[in-house]
Amino acid sequence: MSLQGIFISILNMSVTASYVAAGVIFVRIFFRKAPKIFSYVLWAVVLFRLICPVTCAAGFSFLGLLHVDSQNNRAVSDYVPHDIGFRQTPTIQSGPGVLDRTVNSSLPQAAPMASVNPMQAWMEVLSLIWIAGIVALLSYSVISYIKVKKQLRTATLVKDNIYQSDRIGTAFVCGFVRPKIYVPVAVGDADLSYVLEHERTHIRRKDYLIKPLAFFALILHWFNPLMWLSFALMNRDMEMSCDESVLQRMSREAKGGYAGSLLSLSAKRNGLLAANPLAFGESQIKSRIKNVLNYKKPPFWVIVLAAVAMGVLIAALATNPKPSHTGSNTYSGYSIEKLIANKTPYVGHNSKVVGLIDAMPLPEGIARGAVELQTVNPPYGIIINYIMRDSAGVMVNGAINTHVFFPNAIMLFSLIDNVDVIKCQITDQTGQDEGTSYYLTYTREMAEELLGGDVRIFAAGAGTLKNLIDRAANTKSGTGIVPPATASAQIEGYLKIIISSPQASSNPYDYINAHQNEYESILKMGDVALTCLLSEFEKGGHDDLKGYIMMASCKELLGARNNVTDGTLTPQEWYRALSIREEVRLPDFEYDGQDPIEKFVYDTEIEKHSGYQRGGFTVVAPKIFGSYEEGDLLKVFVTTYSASYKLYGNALAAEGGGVIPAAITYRKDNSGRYILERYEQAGDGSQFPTSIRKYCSMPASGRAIEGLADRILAHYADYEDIRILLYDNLTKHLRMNGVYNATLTNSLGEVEFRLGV
Amino acid sequence: MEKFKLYDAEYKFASIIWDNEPVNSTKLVRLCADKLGWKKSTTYTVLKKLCDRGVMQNQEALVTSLIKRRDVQKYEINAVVEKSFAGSLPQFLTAFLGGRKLTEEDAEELKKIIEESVE
Repeated sequence: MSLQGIFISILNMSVTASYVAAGVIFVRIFFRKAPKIFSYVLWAVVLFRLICPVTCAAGFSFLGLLHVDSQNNRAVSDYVPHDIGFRQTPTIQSGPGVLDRTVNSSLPQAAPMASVNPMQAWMEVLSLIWIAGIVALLSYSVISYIKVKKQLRTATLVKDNIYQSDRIGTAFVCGFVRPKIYVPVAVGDADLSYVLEHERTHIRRKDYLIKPLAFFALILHWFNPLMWLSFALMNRDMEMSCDESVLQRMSREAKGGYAGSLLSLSAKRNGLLAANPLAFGESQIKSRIKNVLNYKKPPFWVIVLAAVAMGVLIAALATNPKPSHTGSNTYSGYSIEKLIANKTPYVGHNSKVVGLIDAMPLPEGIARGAVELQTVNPPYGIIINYIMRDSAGVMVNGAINTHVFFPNAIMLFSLIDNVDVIKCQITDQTGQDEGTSYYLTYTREMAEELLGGDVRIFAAGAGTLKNLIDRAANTKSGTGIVPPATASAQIEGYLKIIISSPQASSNPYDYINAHQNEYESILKMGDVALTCLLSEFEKGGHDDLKGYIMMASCKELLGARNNVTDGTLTPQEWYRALSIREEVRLPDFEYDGQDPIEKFVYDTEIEKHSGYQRGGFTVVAPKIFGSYEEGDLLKVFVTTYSASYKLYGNALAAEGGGVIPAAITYRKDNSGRYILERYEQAGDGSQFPTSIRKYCSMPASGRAIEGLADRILAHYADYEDIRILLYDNLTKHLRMNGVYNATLTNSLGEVEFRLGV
Repeated sequence: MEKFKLYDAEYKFASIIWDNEPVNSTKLVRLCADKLGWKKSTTYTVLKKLCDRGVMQNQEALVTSLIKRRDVQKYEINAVVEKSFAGSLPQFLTAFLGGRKLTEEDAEELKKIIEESVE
């Protein structure tokens, strides 16, 4: 740490200590009547703040009460930032009020062309002045200490650790390791017993160590006048509490005698010694005499009360405010107050939406640009532009984390009732891939799926919002978007490895099989890899082995979007024939029959199986084995073939699905409608038959239904009927949506399903 | 006359020498350590100072006094009488006795001292 750094640390400690000292001075007013030991102990906190830069944070901190807002929320208070010398506009934050504004307006601003920031030069000069002051004060104290020591050398032993000297005017304790009491020769026997008792008390309480330590702290903070005042007041409290301690152990009548001794000793004060804080001169005689004469042994309850109050005060003065208590009410970087204040039902409310966005934290290196609102037609959306100056905050393993803005988007879905889509456009200004934009899209469905329901309910209050913030924070890992330059370099690297061996073969698939991992790595990059590869084909000249491997990757990445079925084409020919199909968005299947139970089953099954794929649509084909009504419960036993598809042009792509037996229980409510009560699904693997037998029972009584499970199990071995039903439903569904021509091809290239022509 | 003016510590130190002289300097160091709590160096420093002023002498590690206790006492009394009683012995005696009762023997001795000193 440089001298400047140390100086700034001292400055910061000085500001904190000033607040604490002001607090102690204020509190002393109320403790006037209490034993002085309490006031004395309070100064220990100031001393602690002057010397120790770190402390723990607590909600009950005195500084929090003052709304002292330091520039960062740590155990260390920073009013003056450590890089003040390097800031364009230097500012300090020492607390509330006018002072900072005055100070800040007087701080010199950096001129962009100058080689040395004037503030930096100032700080250098100030820290030199500071260190010079310390050197001066330290040498003065050491020299005067040596002088006193020299004078005391010829002091003569009285007994134990008590020495007499005619060179001193007052009694004091001197020494660090084995402190000795020095008494002027002229002190009479009557005074001597009081004086010795007083000095012995100092030794017993280790005051002879505390005072030099305090003085050392004062030297470090010599520029702070409040600390000089504190030092003087601390001395006074120390002496008075010492007097009280003596009186407590003496008889009542001793008061007068003790006060008299103070007076007679004070008459012979020695100028040099009084100024030297390393030795114990007597001070503030008048107020001390008054204090002694007014002294009454405090009642027990006063001591208890004062001790409790003191404990609380010390804790409050010694701690820093908790981060969440400093300044505005923030939680994990979110300003809860602003979030609540800007909550809105309409995405069209421009200022509120922007207010919300700005009440949320951003990753490092990211700055917000313009916010665009899409409010004309649903889906209603917000487009937030971000500028990326440093990618470290959003990159994971060289790829942009697609979930990096998801937590903020979840908060927006919660706080803006009618927003459906939030798009984040990140413009790269890092110098690498300069000007490239990355798009991250979040939908309300994504948020609801993650939180398991409507996220708007979390906007009810601060508590629920904090809960949502915590839960949203756990979603920060997504897939990565690799910036194009990085991606193409990576792909190039993978391709080079793949074509390196086995050189004997001319079949591209031999090369791919030999380097499965690299090939998979390319595929994992998804559409980014596709974009890179296709732009390579656009450049041309890829009819070599590398080109074939590139084509294989592209075909796999495209899937059903690839319109070229001719497998004999060379890579460049294939590219020329390629016209990537756009996805045709279709809704989920809807049952249009009349059977009420079938209607329930279709609705329930669609709900259960859709939503796993973003985009695409779901079709179901249930076989109903029976429905049983008991009381107001209705239980239906089904085996459902469900499948999700995406449609690209006229090519269907299967996205997933399966055949699963289930028991669905509905409850009839007061108005006669059936509400889904329970959905029991057949278990996996070895649990499969037992789980079916278990749920084959009556809805209310739970009585087993004879033979039902066997029928379900027998059907599961051959479910051709629902496979046909599924394709029937798919056909019906496509036609309903105006699609009359579609083909579903399986991974082997065989046609599984064909509609039309 | 200044050499008779002894500080408190010097007087206590000198008293040890008067009581023990002639005294070996090593023994003196031990005596001072016991009675005054002094370090060896302090004893030698003070001894040197008094030797320089001609109060004591240190010859081959044997310390003896040049100025005796009586001389110093005389000087001290004269200084007090001069300073506080304008050189008047009767005034000093009055103040010294001030209400104090003398024993028969003390009074006799005092009378004798006074008669002897009258010219």
